[in-house]
Amino acid sequence: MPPRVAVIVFPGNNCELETARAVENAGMSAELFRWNRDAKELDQFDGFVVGGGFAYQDRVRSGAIAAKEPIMDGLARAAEAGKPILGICNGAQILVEAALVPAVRGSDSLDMALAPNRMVKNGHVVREGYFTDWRNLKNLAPPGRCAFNLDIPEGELLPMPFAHAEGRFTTADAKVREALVSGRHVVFAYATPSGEVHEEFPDCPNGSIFAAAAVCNVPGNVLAIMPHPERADTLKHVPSSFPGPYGLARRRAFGDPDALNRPGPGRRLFDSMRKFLREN
Amino acid sequence: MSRTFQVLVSLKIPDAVANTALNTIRRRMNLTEVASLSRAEWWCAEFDDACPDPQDRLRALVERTGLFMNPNKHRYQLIEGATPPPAPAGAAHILVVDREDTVGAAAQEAARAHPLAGGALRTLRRGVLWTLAAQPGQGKTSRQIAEELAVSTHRTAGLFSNPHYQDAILPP
Repeated sequence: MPPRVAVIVFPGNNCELETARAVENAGMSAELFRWNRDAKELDQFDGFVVGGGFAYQDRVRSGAIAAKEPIMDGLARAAEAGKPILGICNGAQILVEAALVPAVRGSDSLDMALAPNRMVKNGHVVREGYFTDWRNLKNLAPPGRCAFNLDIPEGELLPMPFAHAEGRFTTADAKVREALVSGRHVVFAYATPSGEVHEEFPDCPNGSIFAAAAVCNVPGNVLAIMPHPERADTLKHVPSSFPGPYGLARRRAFGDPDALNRPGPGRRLFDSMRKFLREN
Repeated sequence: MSRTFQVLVSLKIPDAVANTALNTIRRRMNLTEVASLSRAEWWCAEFDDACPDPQDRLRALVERTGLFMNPNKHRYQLIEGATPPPAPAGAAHILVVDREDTVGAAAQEAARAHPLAGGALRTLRRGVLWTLAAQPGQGKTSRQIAEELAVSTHRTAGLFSNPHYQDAILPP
């Protein structure tokens, strides 16, 4: 039996179908799980993905309303039980607002925010608000630091698209900031094609601390990632002009449907989730 | 020296954001004593003291530029001073501002460059002013509930601001 993964759907999410497809493409079974079902039913699942979109239309603050839903108590129990949970984009905002990431001060402490984008270059704000593009994500953590980077060597670059207005990981808590570094919570960071990581725009597209694109919790079973791995699930998703090996492979696959449907960079995270579920 | 004015912009039509927040507070956070919740966009504009007609200029900016409101669905109130007006009897205000006020900064740039500002607008800040009222005689006062909800501290407590990038102010 393949591992069972619930793709959580809040009103206003809009990425559930491609997210479920990415889960299935990685050899797991995906089921759409609407927010108003009994949270106890989550116990039947092995892993969870909270997808992207605009839960509750981002009312009050992105992720703030969804974080208060009873289903989040079920996800918190699953997180404590060590089950893997991936929050993508709006899903990441929900996990952060629900205090499941990074949870360095405990599972019920709101340690971070995903604040509005604020792009700074040479000390000046050059842009703010919604931004979408592709960037390389650099794996900053040793393989296995979290459930979603098991077979990804430290330093490897994975091209991925992002599309958000509130994607700036930030914290006002100096101890949390320290812990993010000492605990290697920043699993993926935005990077240049040569692998350099800078907090300034355009290398970092939103002003995140440490140019963070994805942050995990202390044990590593919960990951909040702002870019969209499900939108980089196959090679055909990768822009042919993108520099690096994935862009080259995409260009070489031109006109070959089989080659275009080979796994893309985003699949690596879902493959890792499947491996984590098989080994744990 | 300068003169400061506030503009409170609220919806004429039902406010889905405030209704959703109220629903969450009552049904998810079990604060059933909260009877009503409303919301206004809060703007604070600082003009040069030498400007002879700052109130008229701000009124013109609000009504004629589209930077602050759409008259088809919004109404506004202009008040002198930097502190929000007292909440209605039995209610409490919560003012939420982003520490790095990107929306306010963008509006400030556009408004300062506008001829209607006459070069007299110095700064413009933006926030959200919530007004919460509890049912009287149900235990907690509106002020106590506002204090409880002003800052989100974990999954089940607080709502209106995230302390890692926002400030919540409870005006007296």
